[in-house]
Amino acid sequence: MNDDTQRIARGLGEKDVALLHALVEQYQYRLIRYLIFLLGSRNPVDDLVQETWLRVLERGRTYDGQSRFEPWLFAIARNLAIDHTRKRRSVSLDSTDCGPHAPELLSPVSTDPSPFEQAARTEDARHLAQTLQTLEPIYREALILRFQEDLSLQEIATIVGAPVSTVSTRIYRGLAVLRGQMGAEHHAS
Amino acid sequence: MQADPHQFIRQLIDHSLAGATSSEEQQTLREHLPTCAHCSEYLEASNRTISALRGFSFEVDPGLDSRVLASLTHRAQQVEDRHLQRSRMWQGGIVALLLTVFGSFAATQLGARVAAAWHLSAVQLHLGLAAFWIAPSLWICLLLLLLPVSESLDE
Repeated sequence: MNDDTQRIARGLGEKDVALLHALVEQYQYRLIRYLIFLLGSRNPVDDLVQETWLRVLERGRTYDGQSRFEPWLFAIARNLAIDHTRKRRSVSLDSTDCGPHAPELLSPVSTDPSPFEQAARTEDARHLAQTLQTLEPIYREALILRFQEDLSLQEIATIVGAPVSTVSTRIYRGLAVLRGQMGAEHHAS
Repeated sequence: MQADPHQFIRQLIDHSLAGATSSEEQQTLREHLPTCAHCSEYLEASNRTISALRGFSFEVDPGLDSRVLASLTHRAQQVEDRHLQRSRMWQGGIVALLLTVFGSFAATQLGARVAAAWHLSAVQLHLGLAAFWIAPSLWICLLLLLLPVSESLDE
């Protein structure tokens, strides 16, 4: 695609640790933000971030440098997040004893502020925080990838493994829900 | 029945924000929006929502980067060590195979002299060579060559 992605592909193929360190510094925050939007939770994100970078190191040869690095990175993180969610569900459904993590996994509602409430820095963001928490993850994910990461529909479709039309629909619906919330707040104030 | 033109334009606005409009549709929007307060309001509300989405700033554990970098460095070293070990095993296996071939040739020559001195038959000589030289050395070669393969399958 361009020199930069080719350079990344070469470095990952050679397991160049210096390049990986530079990539961590460049993409770490965006990776964290994406995972929080995907999971709607802060708890497993740090572990997933670490696991994602290790996966990047191990499977670096599969990045061909023909497309941007971000979709490839987010796709890895997404797969790990899905695995994590599946395991968590399996544990919460299968566990008959009260292990150390059982109360947290089985508790449907947390009284702590959501990660969105904690991270809202503007008045409008605060209005959206609660709605974002209840919005389905597939919509949150599509919105963050499109409007925060500025990825194209095709790139998002590659990450989520769905057709472009499905991704578009998720964006329209997610945006409609949030716009409705913003409108309601606007009229209330 | 005529479709609501505002509804159509709002769909176009959604498509445009998602990055899915053609240049003709963009032109339609450019022509319609200045003349329609309802649709302009819809666009403004959409833009405001998108801006609000960008109004989140998540705190990052200050130690996370260093933990990630340390684990990457450690794993990269492990991968490198494994790679080195594997290539050494391959080299060892190939050397052992060469030694087996040349050693077998030498053992056959030497065995012929020993057999003559001890009055052994040709069958006894061949069985002795096969049991005490060729079979053990081939096993060692196979072991050295197959170990790296089984290790890579375990990963």
